[in-house]
Amino acid sequence: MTATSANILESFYKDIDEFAKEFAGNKEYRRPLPKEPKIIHDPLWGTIKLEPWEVALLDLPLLQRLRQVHQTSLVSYVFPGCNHNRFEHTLGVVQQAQRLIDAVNRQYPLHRPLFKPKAIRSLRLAALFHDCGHSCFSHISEDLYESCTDMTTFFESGHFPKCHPHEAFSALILKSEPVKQLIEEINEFYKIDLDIEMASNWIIGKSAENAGKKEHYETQVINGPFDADKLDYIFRDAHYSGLPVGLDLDRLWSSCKVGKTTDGDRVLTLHQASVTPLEQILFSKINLFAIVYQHPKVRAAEKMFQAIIEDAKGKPDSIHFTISGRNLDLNRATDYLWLTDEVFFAEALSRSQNDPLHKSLHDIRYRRLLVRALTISHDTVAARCNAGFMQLRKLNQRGASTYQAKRELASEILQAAHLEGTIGVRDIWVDLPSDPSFGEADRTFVRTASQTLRKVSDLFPIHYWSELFKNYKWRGHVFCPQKYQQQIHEAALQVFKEQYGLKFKKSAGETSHVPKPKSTARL
Amino acid sequence: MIPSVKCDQDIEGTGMGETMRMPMTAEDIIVCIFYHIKKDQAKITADRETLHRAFYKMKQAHPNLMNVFSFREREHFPESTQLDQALSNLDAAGLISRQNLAPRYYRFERPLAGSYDKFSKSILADAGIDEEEIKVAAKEFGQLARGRR
Repeated sequence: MTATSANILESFYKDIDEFAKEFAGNKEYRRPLPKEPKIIHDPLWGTIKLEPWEVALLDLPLLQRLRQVHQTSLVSYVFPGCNHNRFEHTLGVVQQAQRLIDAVNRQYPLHRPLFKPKAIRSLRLAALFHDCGHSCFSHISEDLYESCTDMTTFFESGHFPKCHPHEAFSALILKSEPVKQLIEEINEFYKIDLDIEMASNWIIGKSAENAGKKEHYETQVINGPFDADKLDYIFRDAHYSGLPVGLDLDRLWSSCKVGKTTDGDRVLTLHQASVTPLEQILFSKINLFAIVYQHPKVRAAEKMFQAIIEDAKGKPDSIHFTISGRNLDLNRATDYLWLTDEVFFAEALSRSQNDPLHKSLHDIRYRRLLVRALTISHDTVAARCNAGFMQLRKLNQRGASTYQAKRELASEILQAAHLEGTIGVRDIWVDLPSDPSFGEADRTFVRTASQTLRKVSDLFPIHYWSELFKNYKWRGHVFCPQKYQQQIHEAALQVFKEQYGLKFKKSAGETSHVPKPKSTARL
Repeated sequence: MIPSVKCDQDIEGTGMGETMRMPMTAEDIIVCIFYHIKKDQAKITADRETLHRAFYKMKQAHPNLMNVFSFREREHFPESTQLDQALSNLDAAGLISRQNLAPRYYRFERPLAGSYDKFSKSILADAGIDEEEIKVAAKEFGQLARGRR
C-alpha cells in the first residue's frame, strides 16, 4: 500500500469515527437508559415489541436520522404513497428477523433451541444497525459515493470483504469506538452480551466458522436469499407504492429449517413443497423493478439528483450542503453519511431565487422533471445491431468508467443538437438501468423428499423470468428538458448511429412521446 | 478501476467513424473468451454456480485479464455482479442464448463474432491485453464450463 493510500484510509476510518461520535457517542443527546420495553405499531406487521436495550439504541440520532432517508429514493414523485423511510424499514427488519428465528427454533425442542439468547439479541442488533450507513435517498447516493476515492481505496486495500458500500459503512459504524463504548455500557446495565463482531459480520454477509464449517444460517437471517431485509422491503415497497403483492410468508416460515450442505456448512433451507413463497418473492421483485424502481419518471428524477451532486462535487466551494455548520465535501464518501434527504432539500430553502442550486432543487421538489427523448429497448433497437446494442447496454455496469462514458455520450448528444450554451451537459442523461439479479435461486437450498438438498434453480428455471424482463420490460432512456425534446431526440439518434452503428425504429421516439419521432432503421 | 480506451471505429455501412471513449468492461472480456471457445465448442454450461466458480478460478489464474471482475464471497460460492450483468447483456444483445427446453447451456450466436471484430478485440488490445493470454484463458475456461457439442 502506498503512503497516499495509507493516508486516505486513515482519514476514512477517522471520518467514520467522527460521524459515530456525533450521532451515537454525543452524551448531550443521550437519555437515561430505559427500563421498560416499548411497543411500536407498524402498518405492515402490527405490533413490534422492542426490549429496553433496543429502545436505548433506537433513540440514538444515528438511527433516528433514518427517518430522514427515503427507502425508495425519489419514487414518491411518481407513486405518492411511497414516502416510507429507512427507520420504518429497520423496525420491520427487526420484526422479520425475529419471525425467522422463531420459525427455525420451533423446529427444535423447547429446551434446546438452535438460536440461543446471545445470538438472537446480536441478530436483532444487526437488524437495527443494518442500514445505519445509508445516505441521502438510499441507493442513488450509494451509486455515487462508491466511486469516491476514499471508498475505492478502502475496498482495494483488501482488508475488508467485498460487499455493498452502505453495508460496509453500517458494519464500520457498529464497530466504531463510540458505538462500542455504548454497547459495553448497555451490556453492563442490562446484563446481556451483545456481540458487535458477530453482528457487524452478519451485516456484510460474513459467516462464523465452527470447526472449519460455516454457520451460514445465522448470517442468512440478515443477509441471505430470503433474509429479513428482503422480506420487509418487498412487502413495504409494494404496499406503499400501491402494488400489493401476495406472499405466503406463513408457509415460508413453517418450512424453514437448518440443513447441512455436502461441505458440512449449515444453511437455512426450505421444503420442496414450500418453495412457492420464494418464487413469489422473486416475481414481486421483478414487478417492483419493472413498475416502480425503473419507472422512467423515477429514473429522470434520480438523474436530476445526480446532476446536483455532480455540481456539488465540481464546485464544492459554492455548491455545498451544510449540516450544523459543516460544509460537506461530496468527493469524500464519508461525508455522505451526514447528508440526509432533509439536509439535501433544506439547501433549497436557504438559498436565494437567483441561485442555480435553488432552481435545481426546486425542479425536483415541484416535479419539473426531465422528459424522455429516446427509449432504448429490445423493441426499439433495429434488427442486426447486436454488437452496437451490446456496447451501449454494457454501460449499465456500475463503476466510474461506465459512468464517465455515459456522461461523454451525453456531451456528444448536446454537441450534435447544437445546444451548447443554451443548456448544459447536466441537463442531458443517458440512463441504462442495471438488471435485477436473481441469484437467490442459486443460494437457496431445498429439502427434497429424498432428504437431499438441491438449489431452487434446479427445480424451477427462474432465468426465464429474467429473460422476459430483459426482452419486454427493460428500458434505457435519453433524458432532457421538455423544451429541447425534439432536438435531443434527433441528436441522440445521430450519435448512437455514429458511435455504435446502432439504429432505432420510430417506436424509440413514439414511446417517449416525442412530437415528431424519427427512425434511423431501414424500413 | 476499469480501464477505458480511445477506440477509432470505421465500420462500413454503419455510418460510424467518429472517435469516442469506450471503457473496457466484463462484457468485452467475455466476448473475447467466448469468441475463442467457439472455435472448439458450440456451447457452455448456463449453470450460474459453475460459471461463477469458473470465473473466480480464472481471476486467480489471470488477475490482469480478469481485473474488472470482483467477487463477493459469502455462502456457498463466490459471486460477481459484473459477471451476472455481463451475461445478461450478452444475452439481451443476442450474442448468446439459452434455448427453450434445454436451458442448461448458453449457445454462442452468430453476432458474437461481429461484436468481437467490431469492438471488443480492439478494446482489449488498446488496454494492453495480449490476445495470446485470452486464448489461453479461453482454453482453460472451456474446460471449466464445458457444454456438449
